[in-house]
Parts: sequence; structure tokens; C-alpha cells
Amino acid sequence: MTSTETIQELARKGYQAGFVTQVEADTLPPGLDEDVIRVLSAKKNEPAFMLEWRLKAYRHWLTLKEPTWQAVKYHPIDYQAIRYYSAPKQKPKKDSLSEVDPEILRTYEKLGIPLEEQKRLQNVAVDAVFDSVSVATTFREKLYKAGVIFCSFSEAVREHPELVERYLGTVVPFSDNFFAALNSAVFSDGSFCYVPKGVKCPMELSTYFRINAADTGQFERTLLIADEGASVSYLEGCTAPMRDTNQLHAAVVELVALDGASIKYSTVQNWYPGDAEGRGGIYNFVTKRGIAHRGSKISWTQVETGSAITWKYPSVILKGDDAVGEFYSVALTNHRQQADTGTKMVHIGKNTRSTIVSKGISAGRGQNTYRGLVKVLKSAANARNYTQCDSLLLGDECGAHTLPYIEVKNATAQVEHEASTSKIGEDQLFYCRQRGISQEDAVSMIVNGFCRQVFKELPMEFAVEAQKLLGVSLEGSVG
Amino acid sequence: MASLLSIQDLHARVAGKDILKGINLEVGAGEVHAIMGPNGSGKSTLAGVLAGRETYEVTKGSVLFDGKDLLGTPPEERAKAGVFLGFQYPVEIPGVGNLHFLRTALNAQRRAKGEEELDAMDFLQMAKEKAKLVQLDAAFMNRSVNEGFSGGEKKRNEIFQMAVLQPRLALLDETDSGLDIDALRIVAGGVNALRAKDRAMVVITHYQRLLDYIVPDRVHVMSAGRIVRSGGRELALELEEKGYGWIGGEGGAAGKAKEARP
Amino acid sequence: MSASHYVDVARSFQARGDVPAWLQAFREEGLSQFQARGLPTSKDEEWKYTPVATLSSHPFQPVRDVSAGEDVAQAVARLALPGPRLVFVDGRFVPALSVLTGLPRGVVLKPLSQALREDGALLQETLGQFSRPSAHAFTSLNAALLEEGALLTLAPRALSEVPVQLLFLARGGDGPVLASPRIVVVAGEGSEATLVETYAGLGTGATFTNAVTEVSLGDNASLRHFKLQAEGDTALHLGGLYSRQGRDSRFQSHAFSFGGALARNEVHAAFAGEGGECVLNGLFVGRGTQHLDNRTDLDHAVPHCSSRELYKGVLDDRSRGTFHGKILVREDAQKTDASQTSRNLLLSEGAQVDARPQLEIFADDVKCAHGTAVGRLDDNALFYLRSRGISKVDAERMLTQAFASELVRAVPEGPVRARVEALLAEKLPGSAEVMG
Repeated sequence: MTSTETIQELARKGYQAGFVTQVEADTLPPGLDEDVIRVLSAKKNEPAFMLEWRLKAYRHWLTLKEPTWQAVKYHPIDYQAIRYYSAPKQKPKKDSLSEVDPEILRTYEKLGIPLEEQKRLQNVAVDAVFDSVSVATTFREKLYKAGVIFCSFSEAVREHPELVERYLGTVVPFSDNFFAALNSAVFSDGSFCYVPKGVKCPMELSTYFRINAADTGQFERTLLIADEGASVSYLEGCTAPMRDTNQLHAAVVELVALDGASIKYSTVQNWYPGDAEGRGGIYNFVTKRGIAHRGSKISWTQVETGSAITWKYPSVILKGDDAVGEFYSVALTNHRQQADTGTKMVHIGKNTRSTIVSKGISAGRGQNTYRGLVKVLKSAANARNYTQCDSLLLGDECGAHTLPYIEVKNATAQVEHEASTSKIGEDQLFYCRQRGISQEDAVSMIVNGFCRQVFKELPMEFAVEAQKLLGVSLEGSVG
Repeated sequence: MASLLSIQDLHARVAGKDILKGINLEVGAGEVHAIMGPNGSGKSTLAGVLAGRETYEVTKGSVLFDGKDLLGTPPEERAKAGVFLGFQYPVEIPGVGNLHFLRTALNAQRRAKGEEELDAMDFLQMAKEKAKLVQLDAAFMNRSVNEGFSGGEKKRNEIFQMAVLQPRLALLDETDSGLDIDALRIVAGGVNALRAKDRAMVVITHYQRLLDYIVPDRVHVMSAGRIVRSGGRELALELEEKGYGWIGGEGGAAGKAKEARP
Repeated sequence: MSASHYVDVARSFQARGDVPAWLQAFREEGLSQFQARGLPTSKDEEWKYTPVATLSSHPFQPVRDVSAGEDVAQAVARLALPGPRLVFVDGRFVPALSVLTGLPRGVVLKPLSQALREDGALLQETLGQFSRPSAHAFTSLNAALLEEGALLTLAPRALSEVPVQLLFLARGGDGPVLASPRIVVVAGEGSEATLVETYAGLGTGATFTNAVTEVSLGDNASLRHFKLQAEGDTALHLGGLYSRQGRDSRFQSHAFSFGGALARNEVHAAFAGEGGECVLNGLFVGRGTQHLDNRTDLDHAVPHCSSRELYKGVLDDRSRGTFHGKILVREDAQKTDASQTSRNLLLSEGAQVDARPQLEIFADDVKCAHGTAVGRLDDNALFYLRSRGISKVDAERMLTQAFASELVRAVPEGPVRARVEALLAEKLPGSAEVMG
């Protein structure tokens, strides 16, 4: 068997999270206008300021055009054909997991995310978002004792309106971009976290996103605030059933790291990527940004293996002096997947530092673009950035593109950029096999080696997950 | 005594071009054979065919290793049977630790033989011991496989791997090329230390210099896909004196051109 | 002053005659190429950042004779390494201070003037072979004025464990002096050697050194080449190193540029056989109003070759530096492994560096990486050192030294490294005057 065949074999393992869960859902008909937003807001018992904000965002969105500068191609999206709300029917308050639809619990179990605390992942609190709403949050008690608020966004709007009102839209204003505006108007749920002054969050926090219903868009919103000197590590995972049509996921994540705080935000994104011919799959158009105040640190780590199209740039505004921003990314595109991803590091404060390590893997006919902006404003004396961008090509039909943008307005800044492109070839495989290592083991060894720098940034359990995921996602390539 | 490696009338092609045109070679256990010859004579192709490189197509002939057919099996099976290829251009595998790589390989081979796998501690102990043979230090063993190694370090790493894997047949493809004299002495010292009664070695080289350090039992000269002369060590000395010019054929012409202009 | 001055100089030089016809033809070809190319201008992409007018600021002339007095002997004592050496003053060979003993079997070193008489056939075949195609006006001018320099030949498998040294002293005479040394290295199969070219200044006369080195490496041969350029504050220095490597050969170039008002260091390396390895290292340290140019050009023409390039610049005061490095990976050069790094440290507001990496890749199965950085000393590190009682000057010096040390440590331990360390110590902030 040639190596190409073996890797194609690997390919056939396919997408393993592609099943559909049968649950009764409370769904709005497709289409979007102000009334839809009013209904949505009413269903969630939102305070008036939320509705106001949503409507402002909607009105602004109407004035915007869909962006076209990114290096991805897709069919036009009909925004009137999308359902903007779909929630599994359940009792409004989920005091215990026994009140959650058992079908949904089984779904998460199948995905390897047991929600029953007895079977919990060691020391990880999970907020599970099913289609548009949060269905369960675990470990609330323990977190509550530490003073950490970790709940669904809807709940936060009701129970902690002062925090939401204070921070919502301060990092990503609704006017930021087309998809952020849309999200601001229609977002249905998401996770909310507040870690008070000086508190080190006692466990990993995690949100697990699942798109289940057909024709729905998922528009969740995450807001995470680490108060002065606080620290938190947060992970999100994403999957969706296999469907022939494309589904839109336009999320917004806002991080606020106040003075001396530290936020580590990790993503393992495995939305349905579409089939080998490029049918179906999620359009993953996401705006993620953090604002880092004096002496704080925001670190993004992402492993992006899913979605038909990934288009996101988790960014850090280094506002305070001595703030630190990091971005570690593995993006894999296979078949006809497209990814245009990277980061923005905006240096405003003095002595701010940022690190970017991006690993792009292209296989099949996948296209992978790294697009990164390093911006050093005049105020950012002694700012430093280090960027490393590596691309790995598997096969002859895929592509890798590296587009660094560097804008430096302060002469004391130090900006470094390194880039490389290499190809996994017969040579590496033959070398491994000549030493007695099987072809499958050799491929996974080589790819995981390439990603090692990023995986080591992930929390332990998830690093192992990410490695497995990469093995499964590697479909049909290498020549 | 039956040969450990027995090659009969071996023909092979690469990308539609015939490279090996009838190789016959018998190598017994405990023997060291040197194969010499000018550029393009087919030396590296022979090593690749024996190790199972898939880009080479065998069109005729047979190869028996320990009395069993070698050609029908994939490279990892040959490795498990005890065939080791020291690469002319050792391959870099970024992010994969040298030791992790080698332990995976060794344990795959041990499993195949029904032996118990070595755990990380025992392996490390053993690897450290073997590394001394080619003067590799610990820091070096923890780097990614061949990544950022100089040419000389890569070749030393090949011999280190051979020392760990303890093959029955070692094919060393130009392990001496690109080495400064100090590195050559180290590599040759490692190879000599690994000579053993039950192990055969085929040393492929482009330069006579190697034979000052590794004394072969037999010397073969390849030209245009065939072995055109075989003899004892004196054949190497004759080559040293006359170059490849007298061999004739394509290889001869290349050898001659090379001599005229350093 | 313009090109015509150099044309006149070359004409009257060539009119001396009394040389073999092939040599005369070689010089004449050099002159006609010089005329055709003309002096570079800042509109030339290759010379964009170089103050080219400086190169014709004085009526530089070759000298016919030099006297080697006590000053020269002292400089030699200070700069020479143990082992064989040739000493030159203002481009003229000084036999009395040269050492030709101690050369191993198969290693021949001689001044070019002697080689032109004795090794005509070899030189005819070698001279200009690698330098001509990528030459600029000053390489041509060097050819037009060719008469002195050195020839180093290594027989197949010859080993020279002691470094061979060439010491060029720029003193300047009654008028502005032009020295045009040409160094030729022919290394046979499997041979190994180390060559050290040292350029230093004596006194304050106007000097212009326009050197060309050509290296031919046979299969499996190995050459370590060191260039220690520490000429005086007012000196002009152009140096072009051209190499061509056979199969499995190793070539290392370590270029240290410390001196000169304007100094340009060029390395043009080409692979002609598979399995070659090439290391191009460079460290340039400028202060005052020095201008230090670095131009490298790597030609990966065949498969399976690797190159590692690291250039670092340290610039203080109002000095200026450039790094322009080009890597060409031709269509056939599969499995090429090339990396290029340029890091630069600016020690003052007025210092400036222009780094220009240029990769042209036409093969698809290759590994190429490049990186460029321009920065300043880390304020936190400086503060840390000072908070421990170290003076600002010493702290800066320590950190600068640390920055440069990567290239110093790339030189194998021994007398060459010691010499590099000494020259660097004189050049770093806080040290006395630039040597000269």
C-alpha cells in the first residue's frame, strides 16, 4: 500500500461527531427583522438595556456590507433563510442535571463530554451550549464558593445585569464588523464568567458548543472578565451534525483582563467541515478579542480542524503598560476546507509584548491562510513582538499563504517575524518506516511533531484530545 | 555457509528509467562489503531497493534475506526483520524528539520479535550508553530528529540509531560523504565497533578515503547498474591509483570528468 | 572624481606590460567590463543604501613598492596567528614578514605574483570563473589591476590543521592608495583547510582596499574561511568572496566587519554538486559615521544542499549598516534546506540599519526559512544589571557582547576565536578608539 492510500484510509474514518440528536425544540421561523429580535429578547426575559442594544446593533448591521477581503470563497448567505433561535424544550431553570433532556445528556456523553459531575473530567467545569441556549453548567457550587461567576449568558443578563451592562461590547462593539453586528443583534446565549479581584479560578472552565438543529445559525456570545490580579483558564469545544447545507456560526468572544490579571483561552474547534467534495459544513465567522490592561496577560490557543470555512482572528489589544498577548494556533484544512485565520496584536502600552506562533497544515485541496497584524502605536515604547509562522503541506493540491502585516510607529519597538513552509513527503515516511514504525504511526508522529509548540500550550487533557482529533481530521493527502 | 543476503540478477527502475541492470551479490554474516563507483552508477538505488523504497520498481531478479524473500514486504517489515539503512541524506522530522522516535522504532521491532517493550527509563539508560560510541551528548539526543543537525551530526545520528537497533544487515549509504576528517574517524570507529559475527554490513561509498578507516572483506565496483569488478581490499587501492576511468561505460566517463576538475 | 580616473589608472598599470598574454587579456577584459558597467550609483538596487560617491572621493592609485618598517613588524606581531602566513602592505607582498614553513604535505601557499609566473595554467582556468558572472564594477576593476594576492592549493585529501593566514595592512603612502588583492583557493577532493584573511589599518592615510577571493571546492572538500576586517576609521574596503562547491563539500564563511569609513562585504556562494553544506556567518559592528554593507548571495542550483546564514549587526552613534541577503533556489534544487537570519541591534537613536532578505524559490520540495529583526537593548535587562551596581556603560557592553557572542562562538575554539574576541573587545561600546 502506498503512503497516499494509507492516508486516504485514515481519511475514511471521517467526521465522528456528525450525528443528529432528536429533541423537541422551540424554534423561531426563519428570517430576521426587528420583531424577531423583540421576540427573542422577550423569550429570554431580558432587561430593557439589552433589547435597546440589540436593536441598535441590528440597525447598524443593516447599513453594513458583507466583507470580501478575506481569502475564502463561499456561496452568498441568505440571512432571511436562517432561524435565529432554536432551543431544546426544557424547564427554564436547570437546578440539577436530572432535569436536562436525557437525549441531550447522551449527546454530550457521545462527544466525550460527560455532564454528570460524577463522571466529570478532572477538575473542569463545563457550560454546555446546545444550539442557541445553555443547557447545563457544572460545578457551580464549587465555583460559587470561590466567588467565580460562571453561567450561561442569559442567566448573567438576568442575575448580573450590572456586570453585563458594564462590559458588554466594550471589547468588540456592535459596530466592529458585519458579523459582530449581526451577532450583537441576535445572539441567543453563550457563556459568562467573572473572576473577582485576586482570585485564581480553582479549576479549568469550559464551554461546549453543539449545533444540532437544521437551518439554524448559532450566534453565541462569550464574555469573560478577570478582575485585578485574577487568573482563569478557559476552554471551548465545538461540534455539529453532518448536513448537506452550510450553517452559519457567527460568535463573538470578549475578554477583559484588568490590571495584573491573566486569561488563557483555548479553543478546540471541530465543527462539521463538510464532505470530501465540499458539500455542507459550518461557516465559522468569529470575532474574538481581548483587552489587556496594565501588567495583564491574555493568551489565545486554538486548534482549528473543523468548519468548511474558518475566518477568525483572536486578537489582543495591549492597552496597559507591560501587558502580554499570546496567540498559538494550529489550523488544519483538508478536502475543500478553507481557513483564513491569524491574530491582531495591537500594542498601545509601554513595554508590551506579544508572541505569535501559527502552524498551518494543508491537505487535500485545503487552503490555509495566515493573516496577522502586528501594530505598534506611537505610545508603545519598547514594544516587542515575535511571530513565527510555519506551514506544512500534505500533497500537491493544497495551498498555504502567509500574510503578515506589520505597522510600527515607535522606533524603539522590536518586531521579529519568521516563516517557513515545508512538505511532508515520502522521504519522512520512508525514514520512519525503515526504522520499523508503521505508516499510520509515522504520519501522526510527523504531524504532531509539527504542532508540538502549540499543543504544549493547551491544558493537558485537551492536548491529548487535540492530537487525536488531528489524526482523524487528516484525510487523503501526501504524495 | 548460506549467505545472509543473496541478490540474484536484480533489475530495478526509477521513473521509467532502468538503473539496476542485473546485480548479483552474496554477503555472509560477519562480513563487511564495500560498494564503490562513480556518480549515477546505481549504488544508492541498490540500497533503496533493499530497504523497500516505494519509488523504485523491481523489474526482475530476487533478493533473499536469511533465506526468505525480501522484496515483497513493506519497509517496516524489513526493518523488523533486521535490515537497517543508514541514509545518504538523513531526513529531518521537526518536533519529534530523537529519543521518542528511536524508542518507538525499537519497540515496534521488539514487539515484532515477541520481546517485551522497553520503558522510557531503561531505554534512556541504554541509549546513553550507545551514544558514547559516536560521541553524541544527551542534549543532542533530545532535539528533534535530525532537525538543524549539521551534515556530520546527521551521519553520527545514523550510526547511533544503528547501535540502538542492532540490525542483522546494515546498509550504509554514503555514510562518509560530507564528513570532515574528525567526524569520519568517529563514524568509522562506531561502525567498526558494531562489526559482529552475526551481522553483515554493506558500505556504499563514493570516496576511497573511507577504506582507510573501515577495512572491508570484499570490495565491489559498480558501474552503469552492474557490479563490474569484485575483489579484496587491493581493488580499492587500485581504484585509488587509477580512478574510475578504466572501468569504461557511462560511469567511467563521469569518473574521468570528475578527476580532471576538482 | 569618476570612473575615468580608475580607467586611467588601469590603463597606465596595464601599459607596464611584460606579462603573459593570457594575463594581459584577463586584465583588459576586466577594464572593458569596468568601463561598460560604470561606477554604481544609488539608483542601482544593489547599491541603494551605499554612499557610492565615497568610492571615488580620492584619486586612489596602486603603489609599486612599499617599505616595511617597524610599524609593519609591530602590526604583524600584534595580528598574526601562529602558522604559515603571507603579509601584504598596501597590496604589495612583504616576504620578510611572511612565513611559508609548516605547510602540511599537499598544501601550497604562495603570493599571487609568484603563482602568476609558476601556475599559469591553473590560474588561467580558475581566475574569474566564479566572480565574473555576478561581478560589479569593482570586481572588474580588481581584474583590471590584478597582480598580487595569494594562491592556496590543496591536493586531494590534503589536510591543513593549522590555519593559513593572509594579512593585509592598509597604510597609505604619499597619496591615496588602492590595493587590489586577489585570493584564489583551489581545494582538491576530500581536502580540508582553514583560511584567515585579516585586513587592518596602519596610520591614517587614505586607503581603498578592493579585494576579491575565489574559492573552488572539490568533492567532499572542506574550507573554513574567516575574514577579519578591522581597517582604520577612514579606510574604504570592498571585499567580494565567490565560492563554488562540489558534491558533499562544506564551506563556511565567517565575516567580521569592524573597520572602515565605508566597508562592503559580499559573499556569493554557489552549489555545483549535491550534498553540499554552506554556512555564511557575519558580524558587523559600526560606530561614529561608519557605513557597513553586507551583501550575500546563495545559489542553490542542485538538490540536497543545505545553507545556514546568520548575520548580526551592532550599530552605535550615527553609523549605518545594511544586510541584503538573497537566496535563489533553482527549479532543480529539490530538498534544499536553507535558512537565513538577520538580527540587528541599534545602540543609539542616530544609528540605522536596513535589512533586506530576498528569497526566490523555484523548486517545490524545499525547506526555506528567513527571519529579520531590528531592535534595541532590553531596558529591563539594562536596569537589572544596573540595579546590581554595574555601570550603564558596562551593562550595555555586556548585553552587546552577549548579542554578538553567537557569532564569536561559531568560530572553533583556538587562536582564530581569540583574535576575533580581541578585535571585538576593542570595538564594543565603552572601549577606546577604533583601532587603526
